[in-house]
Amino acid sequence: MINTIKKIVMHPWIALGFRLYIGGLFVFAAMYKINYAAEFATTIASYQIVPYWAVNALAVFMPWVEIICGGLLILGIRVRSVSTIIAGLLVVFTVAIFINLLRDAPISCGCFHTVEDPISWWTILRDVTWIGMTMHIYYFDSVLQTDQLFLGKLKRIHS
Amino acid sequence: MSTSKTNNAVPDSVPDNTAELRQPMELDRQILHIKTLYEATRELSNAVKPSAVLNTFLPIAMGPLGLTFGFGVMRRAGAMRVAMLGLGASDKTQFDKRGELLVDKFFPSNKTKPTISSPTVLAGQHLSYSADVPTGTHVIAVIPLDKDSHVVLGFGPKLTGEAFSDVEIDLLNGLVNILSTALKKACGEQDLNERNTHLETSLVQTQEAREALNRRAFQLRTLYEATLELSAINEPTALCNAFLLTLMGTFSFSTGWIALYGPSDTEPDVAYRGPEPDCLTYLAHSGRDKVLGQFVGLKDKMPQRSQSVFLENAGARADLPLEADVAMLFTLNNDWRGCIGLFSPLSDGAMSPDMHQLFLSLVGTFMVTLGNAKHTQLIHDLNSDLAARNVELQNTLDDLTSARQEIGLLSEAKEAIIGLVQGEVLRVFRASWFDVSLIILAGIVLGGLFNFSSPSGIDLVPKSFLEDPPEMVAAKNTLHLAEGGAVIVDARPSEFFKQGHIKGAISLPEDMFSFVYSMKLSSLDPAIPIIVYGRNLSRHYDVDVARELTELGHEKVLVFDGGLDMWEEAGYEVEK
Repeated sequence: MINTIKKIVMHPWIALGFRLYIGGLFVFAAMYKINYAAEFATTIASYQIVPYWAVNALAVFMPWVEIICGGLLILGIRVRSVSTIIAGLLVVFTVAIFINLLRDAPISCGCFHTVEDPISWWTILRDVTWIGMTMHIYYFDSVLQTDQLFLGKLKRIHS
Repeated sequence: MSTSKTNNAVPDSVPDNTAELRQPMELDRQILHIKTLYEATRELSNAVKPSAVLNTFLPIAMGPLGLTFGFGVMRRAGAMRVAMLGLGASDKTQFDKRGELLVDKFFPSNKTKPTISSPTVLAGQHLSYSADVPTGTHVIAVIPLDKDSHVVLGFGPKLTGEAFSDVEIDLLNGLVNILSTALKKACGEQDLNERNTHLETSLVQTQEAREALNRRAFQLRTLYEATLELSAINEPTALCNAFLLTLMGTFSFSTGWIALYGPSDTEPDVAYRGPEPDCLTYLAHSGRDKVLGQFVGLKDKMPQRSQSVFLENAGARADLPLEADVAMLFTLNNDWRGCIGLFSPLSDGAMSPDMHQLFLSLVGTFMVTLGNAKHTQLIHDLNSDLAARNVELQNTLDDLTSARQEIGLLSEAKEAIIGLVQGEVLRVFRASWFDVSLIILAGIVLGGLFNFSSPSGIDLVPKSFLEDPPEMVAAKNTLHLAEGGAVIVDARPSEFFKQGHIKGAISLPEDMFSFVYSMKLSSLDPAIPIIVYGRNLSRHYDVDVARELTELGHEKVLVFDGGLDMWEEAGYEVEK
């Protein structure tokens, strides 16, 4: 039973679902941030973690990193590297939210839109869930990967 | 001269009483004896051969004494010679049988030292009792000539029957001495003649031997020179030419040719010297069948390996490809057979056996040298072939070495490529700092480009970071100015304003600046000081709002950088 559950949990198709979900999530989130960089900069600033001279640059670059990572994750390219970046971003987001929750800062998450519900522990739980999905992708994703399609056969080359 | 007289052997026959008569008779006899001695000396001196001397002596000695018979036996160098006068054939036979014994009786052959060293005359009737002499022998004379030559003479009785007188014995002694001298002379002359003859024979033989040696020396010299000349040549055709020249010079022929034919797929080696140079081409192209046909015609006499044979038959020589007075077929081995032909001799006469032998010897030398040349040529061909093969082998080895190096390089390249590919593949399927960096770099580049080209793009670095800092005021001054009518503006977002703010402050968030300003501050006198506060780690709201207020014409816009926290610390009133 445990093994069955373990097999199901560790199944690559589950990882594929997570991969498509997380990838799409990041693409979706990044598209808004890209179009409204100023608002996103305000959101970043509201967390009061990033130095004020780095906020704008981060607001400009980070959405593009997110959208690239999301796209690559959907396509199954460099899945582990992308998963690492996404997990890192999610950890940073989670820590920032956690800090601001402790500060009792009246800010919204700003993950998808500028105007959202204020951050809460549910936000933390959501981000932790996404981190878990990303870890699952990192370890168990192996199907329908573009890298696998084009480079998988190269694994068979021996000297 | 030594003489030996017989004592009382013959009684004196002259009477004593007629002294007057005896005187002239004695004188006559002496004259006769002297004449006899003279006659003997003269006659014997003319005789050359000892047997002739002996034959001449007997009548000379017997005549004056009136003897009935006489004989002489001479042993000279083992040969017996017998002379007789007045004896029969039976006596001759007797002497032939017993002559040796007779001589041996006086001169024993087993004694090294002679018993009689000078001529001696023995007389007496007792001598007739000897079986070795004829009956009636009264006188025997023995003459030693030299170590191996001896003579025994015998005389019978006188015709008168009288005994021999002393005078007669003396006469015989004289005659024997003369005979001895004559015989010695004759023997000496005969020995001399024989030695001369022997010398002449030896001289002739020496001359012949010298000529033979000269011929042999000529042959050996010819052989040596031919060998020396031929041994220096390694090319078969050149060898044939040189040998042909040697043959023609040695045997005096004006025309000659040599043809050597091997397997049908090889070029023949031919040489020709004579008046028609075209014969060389003819030999090379058309002579093979005719020459090899001669070998077939010899059948069991066909020369085998390294053998040669004269072609004696004139008819056979006529079938050769070219004319030949002397022709020889020779065989080097089972593959190479040839023919030598000499034509038109410069001197008449047939070839002597010596020249035949020389010809054979020269051809033998030629065959050996030719065989060596063929072997040398074969070795040269093999060496050339080997050298070519070595070059091919070297090229192949070079190619192999090059290919090996190329394979090594390709293997290294393959290993490098495989390593690279596998590394890349492994990198692809694991988290890599390179990929992470690349993705982040791509995000930075794309974000920068998009922000630069987008109308809603923002400054990558806040203006407040680059501009000169605005005029700042402390909390106490802020309170003082506020009490003097200055307006305090809270630049933070409205959520923070709601949580707490300086009492009397107006909320003017940056993102709603235009709306709120038009509602609350547009009518404010520009001369009235405005104090802006509100900043945190991530945003200097106060500086941004102060800049916008300044841009709208307010003359005195100040920034209270301590913010709400310092305001509270200073103990001033906060409104929540």
